[in-house]
Amino acid sequence: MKRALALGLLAAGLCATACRREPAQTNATGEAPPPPPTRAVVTQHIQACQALEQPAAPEVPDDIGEHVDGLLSTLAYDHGRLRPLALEELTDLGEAAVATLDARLLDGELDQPLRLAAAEGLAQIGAAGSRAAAEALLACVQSSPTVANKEFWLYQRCALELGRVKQPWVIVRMLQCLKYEVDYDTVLSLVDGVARYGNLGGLEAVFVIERNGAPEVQARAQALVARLVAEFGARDAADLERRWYEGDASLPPPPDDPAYVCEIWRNIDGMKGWELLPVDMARYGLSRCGAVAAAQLAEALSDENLYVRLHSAQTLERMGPRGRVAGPALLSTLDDPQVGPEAALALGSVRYEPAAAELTRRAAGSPSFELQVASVRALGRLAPADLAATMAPCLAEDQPLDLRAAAAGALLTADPGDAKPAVVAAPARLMASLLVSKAIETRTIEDTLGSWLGRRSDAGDAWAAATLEAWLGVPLQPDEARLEARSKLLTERLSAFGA
Amino acid sequence: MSPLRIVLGLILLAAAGWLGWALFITPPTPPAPARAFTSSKQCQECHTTAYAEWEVSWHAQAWTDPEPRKLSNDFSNTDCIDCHAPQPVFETGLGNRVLPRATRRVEGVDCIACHQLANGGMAGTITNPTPPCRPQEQRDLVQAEFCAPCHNQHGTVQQWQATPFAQAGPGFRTCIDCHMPYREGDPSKGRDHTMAGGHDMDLVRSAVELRARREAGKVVVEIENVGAGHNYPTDDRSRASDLFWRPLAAAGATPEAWRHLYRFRNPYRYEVGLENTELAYGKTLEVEVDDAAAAGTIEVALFFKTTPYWSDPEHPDPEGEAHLVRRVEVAP
Repeated sequence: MKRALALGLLAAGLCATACRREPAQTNATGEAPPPPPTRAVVTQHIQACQALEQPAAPEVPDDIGEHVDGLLSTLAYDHGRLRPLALEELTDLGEAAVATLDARLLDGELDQPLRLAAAEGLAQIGAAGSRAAAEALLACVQSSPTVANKEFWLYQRCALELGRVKQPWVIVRMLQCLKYEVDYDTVLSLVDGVARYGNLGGLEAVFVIERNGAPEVQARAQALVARLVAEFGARDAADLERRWYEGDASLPPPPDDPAYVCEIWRNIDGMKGWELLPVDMARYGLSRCGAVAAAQLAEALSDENLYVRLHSAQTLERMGPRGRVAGPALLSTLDDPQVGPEAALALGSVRYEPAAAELTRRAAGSPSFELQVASVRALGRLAPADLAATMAPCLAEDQPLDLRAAAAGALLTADPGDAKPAVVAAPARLMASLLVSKAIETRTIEDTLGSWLGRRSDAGDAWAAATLEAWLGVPLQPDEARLEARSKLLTERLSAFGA
Repeated sequence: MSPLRIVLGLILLAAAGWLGWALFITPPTPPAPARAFTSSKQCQECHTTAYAEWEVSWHAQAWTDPEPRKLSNDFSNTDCIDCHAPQPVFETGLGNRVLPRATRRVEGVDCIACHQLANGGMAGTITNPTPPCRPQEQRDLVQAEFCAPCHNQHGTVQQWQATPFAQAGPGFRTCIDCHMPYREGDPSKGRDHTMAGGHDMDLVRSAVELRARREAGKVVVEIENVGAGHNYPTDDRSRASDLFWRPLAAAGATPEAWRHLYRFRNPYRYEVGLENTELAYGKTLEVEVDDAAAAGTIEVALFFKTTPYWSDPEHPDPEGEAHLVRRVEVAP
């Protein structure tokens, strides 16, 4: 009996132990890889830049004001041989004359010729290496959006003179002036000025003026484009734009200047803040620069500050193929949990083909749904040979709508204009149906479809040409009616696509 | 003892052991398997009331509302996406500005954006591993710092910090005390997820008082921020509150056009020459009507609109394009 009792207790104990179920340890979304290491990249660069820039305070003679005024008067009103002598003497005065010239430049009581002469004087001193002179000219242009009594003639002159100071660090700030400038002629002067440094970041603004400006300013815009086409050896405006966008090797390389690099780092440093204005300005200016900015932004992808990393990736995405040099750094950033999706989009935008394999792996599945969708979108821009096979599982009906739409969009984006209907017809039908869906954003879908029709039309597809004509014929407002009409016409016409 | 008895004894003991285990050693309910939430619709299944409230809220419409779409040029201004389709606030971190998300944007500021934790669980008022969303108690949900990542772009939380509502004590109130009150005033019923704000005119009215008096031949109008836990208006620079007046029309007569007196607004950065005229909590602004036409009975009205533009800036139509907040009549 005792033996039976002991055996029974043992059995009960074993049963209790075996039957107690421990909580299952599951991770349905998969393990995320460790994020890449970070360090104080921006801080180190800013410290190095501060060490470089230690301007010596100039010695200013007591009679400098009178002296400069005399020279300005000659510069403004003499048209003989005294003029170049006055300019030479101003240049010799150097930094000591800058404060006076700046004051004359901004003095609303002075006659226009004197103020223009002050701008010219500052440019000469700037060309001799004075940063203060260049700063004075920049401040003049930068004041344009913020003053009530605008003097566009002055800002235009300052912008043109900035192109002559031979200090490449002004490029970023001149480009940033374009963001809020409302006067078309000042815009043209700014674009002209930065172009003297080999930067064509303002070209799109000139094209806008060509289309929308009054006839006189349209003519000036066209003249500027023609001059730039000739100077840069392009065939025409479209060729010039393409070369700039793609960072074509035929264009002059960006200036190799420590002060320019420091200006880029100062802008990257501004990406840390809570306030969006410096972030916005940094992205705007840097995305319109070339490989020099891309190289610094690539390094910034390792900064310890999340917002520096994120906004650097965003800036590279906006830069496009000119940012290709940042490809390896962007690839390393894919595993950054919060920056990875932006890095994926940027890889597509900068057209870094070696990233295709990694992006394909993440498109197949990722601990982060955002990263998966971004990888799919990026692959559309890289257009690897196996894109259709990679996208097929993403298009399955049981996938989330964002993923299906991204995959369909990728296939259309990758179509250079001659893809087989068997590859693009189904994605196009899906995208057309999504135009009227309330469950997904429609702007990028509409843009993708329109661009796709345009490319196929340009490639000689008669079906696309006719469909594009009808597409563009739909009235733009109101939004809902336009989307409905475009969805309907495309869905109907796709039945004949490829027939 | 016979073998049969031994066997029967063992069986009895085993049965007793099993019974004891079943009664006293209950295995814990296993936690729900981790679930990847890809849409806030998945929350609707269990949280029907909160979902229904949220679905009609302006958070839900943050992406689809035509007004921000127009102001952002259809979100071509990509900075607007950060707050109108944010990544989960707990993932970005309290005190950090939100980051934009690229997926389920049409859901705007949704359940996932506020409740998803970095570890995949959901922030709630209790910790319970059993439900599918595995709620974890997070007191941060009620703090002003939780709203700040989106709503402090223009200092709204800092404005609150300068009010008595931010001081510990019986008067302490945070954002959700006004914007997500308990349903029927009962904490056991949870918080209202409609999240009333600048589109709720009752709430807007509770923020300000309007008074007017005659003094030395003029009409002095007073507007006081009595109830907003921040400036009036606040947050979006697009919001504006305008003070108008006009002579009171006789019964049946066509009233004259409204005459603009003052605007409360924080201007866009490129609006040169305009100042920030938001009215801080507890402050009173006096505006004078010094016009011969004001000698008779006049009406003074405060209007509120969510975009700053008038169809005809020279002849604004507040009754047609804005919402009435307060109105007073001033006798001769």
